Amino acid sequence: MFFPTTRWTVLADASLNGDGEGSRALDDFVRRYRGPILDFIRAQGWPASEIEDLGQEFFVHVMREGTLRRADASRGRFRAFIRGALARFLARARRRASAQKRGSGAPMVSLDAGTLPEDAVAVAPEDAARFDRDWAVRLLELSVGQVEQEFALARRAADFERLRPFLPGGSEPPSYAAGAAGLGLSLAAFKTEVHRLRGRLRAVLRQEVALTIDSPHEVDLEMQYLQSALAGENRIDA
Amino acid sequence: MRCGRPLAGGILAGVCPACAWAGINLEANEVEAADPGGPVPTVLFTVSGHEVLAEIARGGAGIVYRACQREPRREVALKMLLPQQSGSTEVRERFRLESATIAALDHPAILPVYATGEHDGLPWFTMKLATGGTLADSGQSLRGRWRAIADLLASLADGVHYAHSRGVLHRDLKPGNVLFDEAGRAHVSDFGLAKFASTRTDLTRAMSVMGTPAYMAPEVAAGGTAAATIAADVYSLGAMLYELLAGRPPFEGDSLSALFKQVAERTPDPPSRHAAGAPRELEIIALHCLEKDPGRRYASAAELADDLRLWLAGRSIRARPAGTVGRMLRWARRNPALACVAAALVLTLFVGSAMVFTANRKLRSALAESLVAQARAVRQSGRQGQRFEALALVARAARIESTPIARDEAIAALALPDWKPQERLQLWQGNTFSVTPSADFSAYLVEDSAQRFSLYRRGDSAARWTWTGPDQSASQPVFSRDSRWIAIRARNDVVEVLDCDTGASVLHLTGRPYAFKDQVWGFGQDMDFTPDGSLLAVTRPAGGVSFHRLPEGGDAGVWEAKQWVTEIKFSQDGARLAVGGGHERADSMLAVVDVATARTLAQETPARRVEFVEWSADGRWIACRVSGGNAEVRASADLSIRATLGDRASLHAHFTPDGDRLFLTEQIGETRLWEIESGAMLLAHQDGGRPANHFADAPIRQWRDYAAGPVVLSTFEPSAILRLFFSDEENYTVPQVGSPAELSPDRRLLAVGGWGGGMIVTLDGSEPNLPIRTGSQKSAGTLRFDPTDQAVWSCLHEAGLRRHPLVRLASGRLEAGAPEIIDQDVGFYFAATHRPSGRFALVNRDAGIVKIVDSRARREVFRWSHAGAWTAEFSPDGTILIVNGDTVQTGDPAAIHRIETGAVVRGLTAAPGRMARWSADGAWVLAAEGRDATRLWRTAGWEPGAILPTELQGPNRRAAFSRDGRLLAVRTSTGVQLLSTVSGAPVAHLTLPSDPGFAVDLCFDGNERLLGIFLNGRVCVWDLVALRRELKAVGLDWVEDDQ
Repeated sequence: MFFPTTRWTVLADASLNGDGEGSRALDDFVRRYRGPILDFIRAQGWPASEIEDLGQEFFVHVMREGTLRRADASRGRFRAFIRGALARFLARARRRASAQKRGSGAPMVSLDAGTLPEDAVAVAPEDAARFDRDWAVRLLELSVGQVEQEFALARRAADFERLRPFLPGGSEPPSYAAGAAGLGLSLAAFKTEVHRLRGRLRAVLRQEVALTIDSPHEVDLEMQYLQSALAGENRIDA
Repeated sequence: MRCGRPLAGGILAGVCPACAWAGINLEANEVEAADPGGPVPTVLFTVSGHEVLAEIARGGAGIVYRACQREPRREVALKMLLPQQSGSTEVRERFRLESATIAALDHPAILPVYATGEHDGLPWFTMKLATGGTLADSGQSLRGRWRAIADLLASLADGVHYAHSRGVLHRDLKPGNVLFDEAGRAHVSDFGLAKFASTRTDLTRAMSVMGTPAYMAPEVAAGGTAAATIAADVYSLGAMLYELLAGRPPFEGDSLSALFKQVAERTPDPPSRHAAGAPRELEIIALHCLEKDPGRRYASAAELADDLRLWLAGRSIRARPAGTVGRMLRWARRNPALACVAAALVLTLFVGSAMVFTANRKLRSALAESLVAQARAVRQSGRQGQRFEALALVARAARIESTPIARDEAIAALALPDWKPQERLQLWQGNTFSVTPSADFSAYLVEDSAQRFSLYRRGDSAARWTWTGPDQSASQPVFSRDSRWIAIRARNDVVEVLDCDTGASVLHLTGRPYAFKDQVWGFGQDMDFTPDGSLLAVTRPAGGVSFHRLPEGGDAGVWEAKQWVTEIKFSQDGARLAVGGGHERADSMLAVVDVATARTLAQETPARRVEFVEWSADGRWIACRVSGGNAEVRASADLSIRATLGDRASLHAHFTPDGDRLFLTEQIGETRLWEIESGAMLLAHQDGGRPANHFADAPIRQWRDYAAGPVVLSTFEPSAILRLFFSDEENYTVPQVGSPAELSPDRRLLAVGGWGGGMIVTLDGSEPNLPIRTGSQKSAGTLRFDPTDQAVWSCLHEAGLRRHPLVRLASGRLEAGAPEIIDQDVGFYFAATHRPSGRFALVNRDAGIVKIVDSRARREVFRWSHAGAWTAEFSPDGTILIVNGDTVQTGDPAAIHRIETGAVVRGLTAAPGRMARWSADGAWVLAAEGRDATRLWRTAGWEPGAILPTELQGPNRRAAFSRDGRLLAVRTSTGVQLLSTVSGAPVAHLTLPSDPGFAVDLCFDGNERLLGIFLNGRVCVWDLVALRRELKAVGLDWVEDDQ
């Protein structure tokens, strides 16, 4: 896989020299994907008190082991790659935990596939599905957040709040007429605003998705996959 | 709830993610409907009129697909930025430039680009689909086919040279970038590292590791692609030739570092060592390209092509094998320590090196030329760096060789304004909501998501105080211009004014929602302080504006209006307030309010809301933009439109202090500098990011804010050698007959004729133009300064001669008093002044009359005939007058007359030429003759001197002598050429940044400044002292001829 040079290679290098740009990239990585990762850990049955620490440890290991740098074309999508790396990390953590219970230290094990037997990293389909669902929701959150921020920077935060119910999937959108009246726009102008908002959200979401795949033509496939994941009707990909 | 699934929380509150995703995806699918034209092969996806069929290749920055274009239907290659890189504006811009670069090239050896665009935020372009593979694939098939190899390389060199001649370097020439079409024709593709004019150096620096070391010139391997020149591309062509001859690249290494080391240090083996039978001449050609020193290679790709064709034609090639001396020299350069030890050898080498350097002088000058060509491309880009970057390139060229071309290029760059980044500040943290700089950028206010507003000093980033607000800001906080106060409008409708020293609140207004509280629009400035900080204006919820005294906080009146106000700005003197607002049509409004009386001085109802208002420093103009329209500059007195600028997306404006130019910042973050009078865009700068809406003056600085990124402070550097003045009047026209402009005796003022009279320009820019009105707007006027008194004379073609006293008011401003009518003799224009005698010469072209007026006696003293009299000039002693006409009816068009009688002393020309000039020392006259015989005359004996070069010929050219007579300035199509009066040799060309149109007059102010006056009333002033100082700094000043 070819990961974003701008983000991931900087991230990979960050583990080596800890420069300012690298640590910002790490911050960004954590900010983006922390949610699905912690949820996944939680779903694996880890005690609530350890989830945060494990998540932190996972990020540190990703850095230290250069996992992202070794990501290559054979590994499939970035989402699936992180999911697999996380599963291996948790399997190792579990073995270590049980070893500690038995009173002996566990040797360090690499996060790479191949250093752990497949059965040790098998992810229950429902856990994988949950991870993918969380991942999709997170991308949606990031996208809506970015569009909201764009409105805020344009000092149109209040507009965004008025338009929010008209996002696709909005719970009970008021009528267009009511929305138009709220914004003091004509119906046609209001519809244009809604159309623009949706168009912008679509563009931003596709760009978010694009950051996690390696070819432009895969955007549609991943969009489709994540749509199915959200609808709960997916076959889990590798 | 639509699908029964639970709704999300947090930022997606009230949204069902599954439905949202499905909705977004559905709409995406609707955007690109299937092609109605029938079945197509499996389509990966569609991109604006193209069905993308299959991936062909991918590289560091892009993926190439085979695609089918719908209209016209054909197969094309579609190159698109990889999505992973879309987050980087740097790579995105590089990709965009790449497509723009190739699209601009039209040559059979260059792969043509058909279309460009953007898809899912990814820029793409389509190009001819070359189905014949690359040279990397097919190189083997050329083994031993020496003629075919030479032919191929000659053709590629042609294409590369064509690109070079357009200022484009390839920077990444290698066999993989040479593609063959179905007919077997080779095309250079992938100008991936081409650094086109507007590319920034840092951009290519970041990508420098992406080149291919095996074909990379040593100077590029060492210094990155920023060090690339034409010579580096020649090296790469040579490396390809080498590989085709030898069957292997010039250097091979086990590792990248080993390869780099070889590229830097080793001389390549002759190709024949690897492949028997390679022709010796082709070997020499390849090795000549592969010289380590760029100055020793072929000077251009065209020379390489020529040598290959000489070999193909069976003639001897120009390149010579490096001899013993050359090899030793190179060894000595690479091993300086050893070379020093071999001191005896050095002595022998000295003689040899002189020979080698002589032989290479030509090559080195070609290298210098290529640097100048690059400088030209950068200068003409209109982007940031157009001056400083171009000048640095010329300076590099000048270090190799100082040439007139380099000098002219340096002058052209020096005439441009540019931005200079000064400081980067990392102010945005994770919880930052807004950052606002004070008016002079000495402090800034940071608002975080917990509604804490903290004031910091910029110098040491020290926090001075923190104030916790009741809510987040609803609009951008506003500093007073003296940095004493800051006004914050919070979302809970409170306006708070804080003392910047203490952070204490001095004014608290409640119930003050931002206009359209729940329908926030725009980037508006909804509060403003008078420049002295004594008054705050705030928009009112019921419409209009209220004024509040500071620091006591008392009410100071209300400007009533029905409309919502979103934009307010005080004039620099604080006496007037510009107000803009509106939402839908019924609300829109633009007004100027008298602050003392709250009276409306002028009001307009634009079609839509006003996006911004901004005052010029002198308070005469207001810049604004009506939503959906172009930016406008309006007169503040009546809001009439003076100029519209083709900028439909600007959200902020800032005038230069002279009011002649305007910065406009677009929503996408591009700041453009516009010349108001001509509507020309002078300089653009874009970094992406949010609008940069903060400017400070003296010098002009910009606070460019990239939300969450750095804040960059840049200084605007106007040209140090050229200053421009404009007429404020619409359709200002300067008469062409006579000599319409004149400097005041103290050289501080310039009088420029025009319709209805003319204007007086203060050359230090300290005052606006002073119009000279005669009451007759339909008549062309020319102006003259009274030789002895504070007065200006006007001569109106339809009304005659008047004298206007000039009065300096108590405020220091100049004003013209009521005119005195001298005569009503129509048909005349001023042509010349003789200050010692106080006389004016006037010409009447239609009647063929010259008359002399005595300014002291205030009457005409002589009058005589000269057919078609167009210009006249006194001899320095004031006894004779040269007149040049535009007809041959009677006598010579140009002739020397006695002042008193008009008797012709000497006829000079046979064809009408209009222009005549007398040098200040009286030694030279320049007279235009017909289309091609403008020449100098030595007045001692009236012997004809040098004829001007052909490109400076023509009856309408204006010219001027410098005060010491050494220089002659002649108008060219793009500026002014300076010539040596003695030799007629060109000295320097002063290129103008934008075309000012027809020049009606040129004059020197002593020897320090040169003034050009143009038909539209524009005045260009070159500071020749500063010019020569700047040229000297880069080793390009000129040496003066001796008289």
